[in-house]
Amino acid sequence: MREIGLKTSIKRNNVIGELAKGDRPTLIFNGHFDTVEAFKGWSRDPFGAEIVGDKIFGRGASDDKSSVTAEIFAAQVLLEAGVDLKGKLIVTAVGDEETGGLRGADYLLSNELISGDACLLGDAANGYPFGYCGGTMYITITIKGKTAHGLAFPDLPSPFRNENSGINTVERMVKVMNFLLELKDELLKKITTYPTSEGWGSNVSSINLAEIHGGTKITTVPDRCYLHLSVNTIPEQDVASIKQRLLVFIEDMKKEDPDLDITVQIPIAMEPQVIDESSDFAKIVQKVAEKIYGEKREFKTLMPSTDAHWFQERGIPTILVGASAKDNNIHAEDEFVYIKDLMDLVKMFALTALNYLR
Amino acid sequence: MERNVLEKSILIEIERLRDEIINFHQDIIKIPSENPPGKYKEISKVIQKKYEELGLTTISKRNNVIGTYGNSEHPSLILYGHMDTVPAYDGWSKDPFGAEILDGKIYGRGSCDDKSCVTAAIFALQSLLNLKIKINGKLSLLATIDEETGGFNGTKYMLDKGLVSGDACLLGDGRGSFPAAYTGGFLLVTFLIKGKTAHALSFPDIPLYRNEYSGVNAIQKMVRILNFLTQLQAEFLNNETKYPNFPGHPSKVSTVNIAKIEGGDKLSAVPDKCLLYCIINTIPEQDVESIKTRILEFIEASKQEDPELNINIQFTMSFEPFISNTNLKFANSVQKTLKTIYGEEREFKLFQSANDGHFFHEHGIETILMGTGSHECNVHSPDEFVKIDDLIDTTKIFALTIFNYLRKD
Repeated sequence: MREIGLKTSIKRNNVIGELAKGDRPTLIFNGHFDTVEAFKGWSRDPFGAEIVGDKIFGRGASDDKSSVTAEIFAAQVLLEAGVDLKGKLIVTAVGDEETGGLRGADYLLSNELISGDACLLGDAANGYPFGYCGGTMYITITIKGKTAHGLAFPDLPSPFRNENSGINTVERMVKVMNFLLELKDELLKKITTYPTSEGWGSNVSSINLAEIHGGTKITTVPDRCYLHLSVNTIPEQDVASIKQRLLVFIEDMKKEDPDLDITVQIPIAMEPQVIDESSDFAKIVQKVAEKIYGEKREFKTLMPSTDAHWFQERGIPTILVGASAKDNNIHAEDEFVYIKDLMDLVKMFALTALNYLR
Repeated sequence: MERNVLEKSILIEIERLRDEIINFHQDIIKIPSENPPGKYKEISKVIQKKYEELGLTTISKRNNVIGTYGNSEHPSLILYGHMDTVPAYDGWSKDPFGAEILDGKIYGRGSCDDKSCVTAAIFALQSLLNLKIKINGKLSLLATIDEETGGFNGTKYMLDKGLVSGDACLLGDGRGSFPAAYTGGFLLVTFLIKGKTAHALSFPDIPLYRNEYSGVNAIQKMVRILNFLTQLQAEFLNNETKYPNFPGHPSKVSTVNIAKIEGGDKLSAVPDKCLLYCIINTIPEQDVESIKTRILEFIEASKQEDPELNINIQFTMSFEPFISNTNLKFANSVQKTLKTIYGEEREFKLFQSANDGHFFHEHGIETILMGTGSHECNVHSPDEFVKIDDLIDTTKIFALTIFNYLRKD
C-alpha cells in the first residue's frame, strides 16, 4: 500500500491505507487476509500459489486474499490514472475475520481508527453485488455433570440411583439437540423473498450442529459435554427471537431437571441487514456491476457471516462483492480462484471508487 | 486336626504376617502398572519372584504370571487377581504411587482395584505353607494384565492357550464383604457416522435445498442414534433383576451409558464425522445377543429411511451375563469361609461391572467373585485406598477358601 502511494498505518496487524483529498464522502474498501487453516488433503501445495490454466491454487486464493489484491490494485489504477477524486478512500486489509472479526474489523471501527459513509466489502461470491445479508449467531452450550464408574453408578432415575450415581452430560445434551433440530425444521418452512445466488446453498434459515465433545473415557459417566453450533438466518428472520426461544427452552429444562448445570454462551449474534436500494451508493454499485458484466445484476442475498455487520451496525451502508465461484473449494482442500474473477473484482473496486468519489 | 482348629491357626498366622502383607502391598502399589499405557514388566517380575520364593512352579507369558502348587490335577482352584490398574488421572490429594498409610488405609492407584487381591492370594498360600497344611489337587495363583481394557492379552490369552486351567476360580476383583455368583452382560458399541464437510453457512445440510456442494451433517444424523439409545434405557427401567445387589449399588436394571461423543472440529463447517461410544450393561436376566440384534435392526431401518446415512457400527467387546451354581462344593466352601470370617451367612450377590469372570465361566470353570473393599474406596477415582483390615480379611478369605475346597478330608 505504501509503494502505491497510500498513507499507511498498522494496528494489531490490521493495515489501513488512506488516499485523502477531502473529508466527505469517505469510501471504505475491506478485505481480510486471514484464512482458515490449510487442513489436510490437498493435491497441491496450499501455499504454493500454483497457476494451472485459468486458476490460481492456494489457501486464501479465493477467500479472501483475492479481495485484498483487488482493492490494492484498484487504488493503484486510480492513482496511476491520475483521476481527480474528492473525499477519501480508505483501503483496509484485516485479520481475524474467520474467527469473528473482534480483533480485525471490529477493532478498527470501535477504536475509530476508520470511519466512512459507505463500505465496499470484498468477501462474497463472484458475479453479483450482495445487498442483503442473513443473520448469524454462534452458540456454545456447556453442560457439567458428575463423573462416576459407568457400570457401577450409571445415571438412572430414582429409585435406581444414590449419592454415588453419575450425572450424564451427553444424555442431557441430546434433549438440547432434539430441540435445535425441531427449531431447524420450523425455520426451513420460511423461504426468503430476497434473491439468493444460484448454487449457493439455501434460501431458508438453518442451524448447523458444528461440534460436539463429551466424555473422556468409555467406562465412565461423562461429566462434561460441549456443543458448538451456528444459526444462519434469511434477511426476514431476526436472530434475537431465536436466541430468546433457546433461552426459554433451557430455563424450562432447568425447572424440570434440578441436576442440570447448563451454560449458554453466544459470543456472536448479528441481525440480518438490507441495503437501501435507492441510495446513491447502491445505485453506483449496480451501475458498475452492469458495466463489468454487460448486463444488469440485481442485489443478491449473502447468507454466510462476514465482517459486513461490523460496518452495518455502525450505520455504514455496506455492499459485498467478491471473486469466489461456487466451485472454488473455499474452506476445503485445493482452494483456488479463477484469474478472470480476480480481474473482475479489481475492476469492481476501481469503478465503484471512481464513481462514488468523483 | 479338627477343621476349625486349623482354620483358627490359619487366621492367627495371617495376623502374624500382617506387617509383611502391608509391606509387600506397599511395594507393588509403588510400581506403576497403569493401563493404558500398559507397561507391566517390572511388576510382573516382582510377582514372579515372589511366586518362586513360595516354591511355586512359575510361568510368565506376556507379563501374566501363573504359579502352581499341588500334587494332582483335581480338584483344582485358581486364585485370581489383576496387576494392571486404570491410569492415576488427576485430582489426587496423595501420591498415587506413594502407598501412604493414613488412618488404617493404604492409598494408591490399584491399592484396592486390584493389587489387593494379588497380595492377598500370595499371603493366603504363604500362611498355609508356613503351617505346613497339606492340600489336595492343584492350586494356581494367577496375576494377570489387561483386565481394565478387556482382558484379551490377560485372562483370555492364558485360558485360550491352556496356560491356566481349573475346576473352580475364586476371582479376586469387584467388591468385598459378599461373594458374587451372578454377573451382568456387557456390550461396548461404537457408532461412526461419516458425512460431508462444507462451509456451514454457505452450504448447510438441508435436504430440501441441497446441491452438490451441500454438507452432510454427521452430528445431526447421530441424534437419531442417541434417541434410540435413550429409548432403550427407558425400556430397561421396566425390567428389574431378582438378584440382590451389593450395598451401595442401587441400580437393579440394565443400563445404557452414553460414554463419549466426538464430532466436528470447527465451528464454521458442517461436521463430516461423528463418533459415539456407548456401554450397555445388563442384568443377568437380559441377554446381550438380542440387544445387538435390535441395534442392527434399527440401523438397517435407519438406512432404509435415510439412504445418505453412512454409518459403521462395531461391537468392540461383548459378553453374556452368567449365573454360577451356588449349590456345588466350591460355592459351599466360599460360604463356609465367609461365615467363619464374618460370623454370619453372606448371600451371593450380583456384580454388574465388567470383569474377567466371564472368560473363566466361558471355559466351564465355576467362578465366584470375591474382591476387597466397598463402593467407598474411590476405585477408578482420585485417592483410591484399601482399608488394611479389608486387605487382611481378603487374605483370610482366600486362605480359608483354599483350605475348605482343597483340603484333605
